[in-house]
Amino acid sequence: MINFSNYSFKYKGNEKFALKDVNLAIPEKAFLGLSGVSGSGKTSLLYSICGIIPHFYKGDFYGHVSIAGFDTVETPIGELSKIAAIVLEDVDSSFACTYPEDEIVFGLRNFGHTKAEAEEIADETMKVLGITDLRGKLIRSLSGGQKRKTALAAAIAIKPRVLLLDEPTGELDPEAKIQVFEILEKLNAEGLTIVISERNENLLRKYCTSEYTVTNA
Amino acid sequence: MGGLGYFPGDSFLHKTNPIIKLIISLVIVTAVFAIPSLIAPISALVLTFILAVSAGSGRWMLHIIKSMIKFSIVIFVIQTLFIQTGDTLIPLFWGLRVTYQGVMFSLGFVLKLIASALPLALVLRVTKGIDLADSLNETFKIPYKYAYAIASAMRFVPDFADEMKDIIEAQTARGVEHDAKGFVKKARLLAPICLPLLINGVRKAEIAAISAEMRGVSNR
Repeated sequence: MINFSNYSFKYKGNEKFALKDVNLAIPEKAFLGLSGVSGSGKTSLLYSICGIIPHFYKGDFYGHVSIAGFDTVETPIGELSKIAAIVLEDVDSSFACTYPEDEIVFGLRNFGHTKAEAEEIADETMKVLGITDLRGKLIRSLSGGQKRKTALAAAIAIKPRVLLLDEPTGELDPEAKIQVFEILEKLNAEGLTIVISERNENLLRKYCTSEYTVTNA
Repeated sequence: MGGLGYFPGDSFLHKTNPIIKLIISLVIVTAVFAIPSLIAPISALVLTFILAVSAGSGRWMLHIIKSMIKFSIVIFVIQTLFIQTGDTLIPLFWGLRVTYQGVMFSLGFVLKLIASALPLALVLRVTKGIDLADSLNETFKIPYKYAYAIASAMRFVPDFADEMKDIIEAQTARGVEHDAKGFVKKARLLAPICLPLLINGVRKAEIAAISAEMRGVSNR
């Protein structure tokens, strides 16, 4: 599903490589956990899978990265977004709307669903994630966990083939972390390919089917 | 009470089509500037206030007017001092004087300023950003990417207000006296707030743009 071949990337203006000589093949339906110390390149690896690198962050790009057979350099970001969805680490800044239900509808409308269809799917997704009680609440008033679940709902509602998550449990309490991983485990069992960057290695070992340690050395 | 940006409600104004609200606000703003009389901005203020009350935002509008009055007084004084033609009302120092024409022009100017800002603020108060973007795209065929950018800019207003509060609190904790009195002292304190606010603003806007692109905003 995802292939890195002799891949290296250096951000524009940086001397040091963010990622160096990455050779990695992630099969379909995998639940891959990315571990590594801060600054090791976990976020850069996730950005490379979905095309944020090099479409948004420019730099020296070596080798090849492909997702579902599409080269991430040559394929427009609009096309890549149909395959992969990402939950960014800074969820607060990533929201496009004021209310959780609108946030889910926003992505669906962009992918061609009518307003009525989008609202129906948003309803179902909120039920699946157990966040129907968040309807009508201002996103900025939600707790860290509720915001993460809203961002996750917005990502999975568009039914991507690959779900990427960048430190999704960062500010959460232990119980909420487990909740997020249980949801992901269920989605993976339904066939979704998941790549997650997470500092808590115990969670990665418990829930992920494989693990990859990122190092930019 | 909330600041600028959408506030939920079930009023007639909330349910009205965003484009109709936008057109009405533009008609009010045009009338304010097109009619050369103080009656125009005063009527616009009264009309906008009545509409705000009908949408359950009367107190909010009074709060906005109050904030704008502080700013308007400064503009009024500067503008009055710059107009030195006409009948003298109050002679000042160094040959400067307050004239009747100066007072009337400056009064009209600040009233027009307030009266033209409020209708648009009210539209944003009673319209969800996403609905406004959809309507601009569907009715005026504005590319969705741009319509979304216009509408989503308002989403960041409360975020920036929170960010500014955080920066002030962090600086206060490190000994900066933000409750200092005097215009010059307050102005000097603004620069160290603006810089981190600007840097954070650019970073947030970048993340928001990436997030929107990854959710197919360019596919529409």
